[in-house]
Amino acid sequence: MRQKLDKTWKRWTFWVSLTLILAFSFNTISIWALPYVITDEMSDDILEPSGVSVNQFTRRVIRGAVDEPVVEGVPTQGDVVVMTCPDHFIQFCRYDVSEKPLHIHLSVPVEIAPYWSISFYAHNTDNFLVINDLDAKSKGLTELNITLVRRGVSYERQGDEMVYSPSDVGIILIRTIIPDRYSAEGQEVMRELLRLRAEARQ
Amino acid sequence: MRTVFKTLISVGIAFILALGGLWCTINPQRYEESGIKNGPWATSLEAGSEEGSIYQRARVSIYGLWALEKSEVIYYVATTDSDGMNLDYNYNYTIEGKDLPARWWSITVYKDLYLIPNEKNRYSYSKTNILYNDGKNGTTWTIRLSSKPQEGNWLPLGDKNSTSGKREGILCLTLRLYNPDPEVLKHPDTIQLPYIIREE
Repeated sequence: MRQKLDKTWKRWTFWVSLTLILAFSFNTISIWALPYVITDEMSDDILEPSGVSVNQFTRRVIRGAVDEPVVEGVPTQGDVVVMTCPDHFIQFCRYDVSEKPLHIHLSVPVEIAPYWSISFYAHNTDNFLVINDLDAKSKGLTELNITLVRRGVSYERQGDEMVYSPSDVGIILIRTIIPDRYSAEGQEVMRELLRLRAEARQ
Repeated sequence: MRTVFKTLISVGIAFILALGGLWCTINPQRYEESGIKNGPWATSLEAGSEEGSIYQRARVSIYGLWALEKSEVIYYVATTDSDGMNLDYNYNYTIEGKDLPARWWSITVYKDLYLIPNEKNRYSYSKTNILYNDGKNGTTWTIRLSSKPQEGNWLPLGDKNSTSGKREGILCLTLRLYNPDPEVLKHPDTIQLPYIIREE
């Protein structure tokens, strides 16, 4: 009788432990994978209607409320990313540096917006570098030449700021704050931004 | 055969438990509880950071995808008023504050994590465009949160007759502090943030 009880107890212990270990593993894997999945899904949602491919910047306003164009020639994309800042003009680039580095050339809008930055995100959504207008201004730069390369790869390009990505793929966002984009002043700032250079090529 | 059946049951239960755990992690209430509180506002200094845990990263990817790291922006979120009551469409609110310790700041209202379409195209107020109570050189301001037109700084909660303006869903305010002053990074829980007051 006692032997039978012991056997049953052991069997239950085994199955309960197995279930808990599996539950913990599934949970950890899903939580770990979630940012990667969301990054890929959101990137597809932004890139597909923009008609631009990987390693190119979009010229689209990602705003989140409605789809009507805010400035002629600049489509607005609604309801894509949650909790978007309505005061941003965003230029978006999905990068892939698995095979070659990415060269980025940008004009920095000085004194026309309250805030401007270029930020780099790894595939898991970590924000591994930001360069803002004050950083550029402190170095006296109105143009930025950046080379993005996979961390651990030995590559140098004379005169470029070298940026090392922790993952093969990721996201680059150029944010410019335009309060009151519907005002005449806001529209002019947006037109000015469209004239500025934001290029990425391999 | 019995072992295969037991294994399948074990995997099934494990999967359900894992989903429950995932829900607990990404639940918006947990997001607020896990952060730093300052009155009705909650924040996390780990948003966007490479030092964040996988749990923090998962939450940020859902509620604030591609957030900037703390020296660039601090994000405060409020889903309740200053008395701790959930923000509710059936009430009007006043948000009272003064100039905030950052290079630039804005306050935005969302419904179910998205902006609320409205005829005024007004989704936020910021350091640049807010009207101060005591004129251009003033320091204090008031924002009115309501579905009915208001004088001054009015953040519309949407037209209640339109489909998108259904009076349901989770209301949420986000306060963004761009290039915050050092005191914000040192004392994110005690700096003076705007009050959110429900009008009776």
